[in-house]
Amino acid sequence: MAAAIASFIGGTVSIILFTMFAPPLAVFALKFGPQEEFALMLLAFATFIGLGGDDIPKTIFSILLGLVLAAVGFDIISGQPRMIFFDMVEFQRGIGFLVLAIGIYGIGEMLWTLESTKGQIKMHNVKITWARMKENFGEIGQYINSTWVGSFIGFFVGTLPAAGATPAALMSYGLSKTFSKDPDSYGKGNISGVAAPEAANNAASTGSMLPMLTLGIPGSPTTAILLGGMIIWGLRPGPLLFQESPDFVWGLIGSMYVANVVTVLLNLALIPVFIRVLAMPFTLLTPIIFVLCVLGVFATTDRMFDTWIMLFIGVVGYLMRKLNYPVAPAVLAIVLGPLAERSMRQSLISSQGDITTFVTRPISLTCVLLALLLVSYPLIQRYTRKRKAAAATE
Amino acid sequence: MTVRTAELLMGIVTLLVSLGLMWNVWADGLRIDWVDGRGPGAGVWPFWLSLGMALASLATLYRWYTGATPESRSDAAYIDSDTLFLVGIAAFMIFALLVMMTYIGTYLALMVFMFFFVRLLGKHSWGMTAGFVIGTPIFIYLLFEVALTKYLPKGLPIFEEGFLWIDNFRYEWF
Repeated sequence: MAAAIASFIGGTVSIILFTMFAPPLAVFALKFGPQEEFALMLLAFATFIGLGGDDIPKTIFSILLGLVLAAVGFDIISGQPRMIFFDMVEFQRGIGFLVLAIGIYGIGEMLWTLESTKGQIKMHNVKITWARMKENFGEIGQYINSTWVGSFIGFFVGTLPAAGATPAALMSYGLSKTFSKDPDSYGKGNISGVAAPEAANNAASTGSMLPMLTLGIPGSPTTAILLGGMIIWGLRPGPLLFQESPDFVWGLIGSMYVANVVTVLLNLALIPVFIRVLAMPFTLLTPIIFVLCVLGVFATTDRMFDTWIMLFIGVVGYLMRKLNYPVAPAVLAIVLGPLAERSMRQSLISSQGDITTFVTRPISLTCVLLALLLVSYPLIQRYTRKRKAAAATE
Repeated sequence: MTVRTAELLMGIVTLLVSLGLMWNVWADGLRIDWVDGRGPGAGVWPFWLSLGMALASLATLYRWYTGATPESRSDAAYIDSDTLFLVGIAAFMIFALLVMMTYIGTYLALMVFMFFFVRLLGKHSWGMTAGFVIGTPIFIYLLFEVALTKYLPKGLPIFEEGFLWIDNFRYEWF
């Protein structure tokens, strides 16, 4: 109950901040040329390397694999066919990001779930009554402050590429605990410890929409998929979207407000139903999800070939994930790949092959420097840790 | 197979894949340098990124050799027998579904697929099994073919022709 209310407050605060910040950021982003676009994407990938917390060579491999897979098909500038594996003509149409995303997040995720749950359902018997919900409503004053903290932190952390809901939730929990009058009760039943991260993870979801809509850079795999969906519908997320399709942008923002209200109502009213769905045995839930994955991919492309690619990607993604290869950067790279290649090549063509074009313009220089800083951040961290350890042994 | 061995094999496979991608660009005769009057060649992006993948794979192999990653020090089983059964059977059934869709069509394939999961694997009651085996194709037909107007694969001509009466009935009466 507290989680649902905190999520609602976090979502609402985040949408208000989004409405305030999106138009000025879009106006600022109108100054961007291909150099700035490419540098910004470089920054997004660097964030995954520096702050993702995963194995660095594996993260780099994952990003590069996504970028290469996005290049399958005809070259966007010369029109030459490339990466046509085994001379199969089906590859000429490229590999759609939806095929890869459903393979990784549909098939791969389901296989992962089967492994982690062993097909067993872990569900506690939860009894929810109106009287209990009313009682919980009255406790809102106990956790409202930590909800505000979570809402603001969640939004700003969510706007950072690769940061997402989990770091936002952890940061807000830590901060809320720091400023609490009773920090020792956190983790021992203090409801503020639930409200702060719940507000933050919901606020971060909206926050991650900000760079996607205004700059065309998705901050998370979810927004990457949204971006791909918009491209399919002929929209190009970025600063011009606010000028070219204001009806769509403001309609979308308006829908966020509505969605937030509908979500809290559904959350509160349908908790018992959701619990029932989650309690479905895997022998019923799994085949339904698999069927929807297979037919969803087929319906998008009308090709059986893509369903085979989906299965292959799903199984390979699962096997790689078991060895700590992160999959989220690959999905982001698949979506951003064509945009990144086009902006890089446009930049180089306009500068006659002068690679310094990326560091002679102030915005792109800032992004490149930030990207370098982020990439070297783990090294700096390791060096600092070693020095501290050495100092401690002395 | 241990996690340690799996990481080594994965490192080798990713390295070979990266080299294969580079070879693919070269074999297609794509330029990987600057083309006068046209800018970067069509092979620049995939070739140099594949080289990056190869270097990342080498780094992973080096880290495996030095035992820097938790996986390279783990002697636990990469996939235990229970997981292998569950994951293997799920992946195999999707494989079988795709094969069946090609030959006997989506709807018959769905019936076999659901029967396998619900009755054989889940050991649910015959009533539940019948509900899923019959209900799933109907739901899919209504969702994809009626609502989304997507023509799903009907398999070999003999199966496709056998299915046409449903479409005829639908177009004639609805």
